[in-house]
Amino acid sequence: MKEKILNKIKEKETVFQNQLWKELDLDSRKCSKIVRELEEQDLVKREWANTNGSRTYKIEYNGNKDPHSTLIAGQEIAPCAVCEEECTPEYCRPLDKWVSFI
Amino acid sequence: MSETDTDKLQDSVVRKFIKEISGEEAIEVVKKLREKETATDEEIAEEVEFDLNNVRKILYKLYENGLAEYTRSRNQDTGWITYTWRLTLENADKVLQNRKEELLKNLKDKLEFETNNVFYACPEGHGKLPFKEASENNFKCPKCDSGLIHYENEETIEKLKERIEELKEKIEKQSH
Repeated sequence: MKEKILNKIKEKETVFQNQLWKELDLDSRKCSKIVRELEEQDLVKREWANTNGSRTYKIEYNGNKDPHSTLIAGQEIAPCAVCEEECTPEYCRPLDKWVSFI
Repeated sequence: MSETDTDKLQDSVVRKFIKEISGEEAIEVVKKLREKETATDEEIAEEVEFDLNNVRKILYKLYENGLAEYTRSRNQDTGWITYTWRLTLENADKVLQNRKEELLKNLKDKLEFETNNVFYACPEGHGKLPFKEASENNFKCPKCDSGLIHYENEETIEKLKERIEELKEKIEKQSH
């Protein structure tokens, strides 16, 4: 069920919650509970919105904000994530370079 | 092939991580092993048409980083030992969470160093030195002897603070 909801949000990128449960033919409370779980996992974000006179959540897929994106700057993975050298971060040139990409 | 493994390989950070630790060819090896679920190093090397030693290095790097495991078996007739490999990409989140914690610690150290020092940099791009070291070198670059120039690090400090906060938030979220 969770997978189905997430896939629908991914497909639409942005969707209103009342549109989501109608389109997937789900119970609105169950849908809300699952979307809240997805939000807690940082997979989607949602904010209150009005649509056709109804108050509901506007849900956005959080695809770019995956849980490990903080390891990336520019297109590069942080050297600390893959380094096997003895560590002196203060003087580490690769780390300096990586920080400049933030 | 587990669903978790498939999903993990779709994560661009996981793919970058695998490439960095094991080299460009690692993704092909991982895809092949994922497809077969379990395989010996010889079988993988034959199918992806890479050098056997290279495949072994890739698999060992994956193993060292918690993303693959093996079982050993000895052929009773020949005495040869066979290594049968399996991916453990389900560990990827945990592994990368640990790397984020390491990065956070290093960035905090770096922030403290950047905040508490004044820097002088080589105009030829050989990096920067804190005031004490720069003065010991008569404000000359130790690598190319160019005159060092004052380095404004406010932007670096801001970037470090920003990423430290983001890392703290992500680490906190993932640990729940």
